[in-house]
Amino acid sequence: MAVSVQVFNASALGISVVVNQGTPFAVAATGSSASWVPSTPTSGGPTWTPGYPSPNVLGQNAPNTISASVSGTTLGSPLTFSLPNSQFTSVQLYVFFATMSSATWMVLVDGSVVAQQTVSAHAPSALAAAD
Amino acid sequence: MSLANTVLLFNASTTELSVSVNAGPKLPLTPTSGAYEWAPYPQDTPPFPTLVSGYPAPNAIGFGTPNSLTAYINQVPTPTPAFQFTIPVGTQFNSIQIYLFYFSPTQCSWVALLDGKLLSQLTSTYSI
Repeated sequence: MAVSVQVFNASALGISVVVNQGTPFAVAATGSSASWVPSTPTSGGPTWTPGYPSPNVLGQNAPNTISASVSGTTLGSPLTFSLPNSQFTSVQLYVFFATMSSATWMVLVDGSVVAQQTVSAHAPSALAAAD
Repeated sequence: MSLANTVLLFNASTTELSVSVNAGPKLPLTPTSGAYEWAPYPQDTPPFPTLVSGYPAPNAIGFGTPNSLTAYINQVPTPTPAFQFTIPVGTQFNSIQIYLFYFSPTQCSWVALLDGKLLSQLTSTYSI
């Protein structure tokens, strides 16, 4: 059974997304004209495999990575997440823009959260080293 | 600027949820599904919460003191902690978007955005 993958951009800025070091794809901004319903890619979005992840393909057998950028500036470090080793029909990836160097990701499987993280350009260890 | 109809509640889960804004009425949120292409489902039945220029009030998001939102999952009556966030007086924006994400029967997560930019987030754990 095919598993669909949705990527949602809830911000007023268009973003570019990279999944497992694949080809970047665009997700347009949303806004009042769309009642702030988050945007999805019109083309080039990721797909899914029950096997190992590969460029622009989410997999269940190993961790996946995803990152987003705005105008060439990456919104924090890539998110690494694993999908559950169970049957499901859909994966939803939400990106919430915070600043030009950070964002919050939510990863859902059939509407239930399986991963959640705020990513920043500066890892805690890097900040400690700077101090 | 009209401040009406600028508070948008989204349910990103397949679970029936309801939300109370600042101790206002419980607002039912329809779940999403594959039939809706998994897009988060916006609140579609009144009364819709509003945005007011003063302090928070029942079913009205306000400025200067904490807004408090409570989710109800499976009719669990007393979820804690409530999702609280403060919008500083003078903040300029047109719309606030609030998302609810479902983890499990005892957990949900909140995300609040001002014009699409992250304002606050919280994961709430419930006792059954």
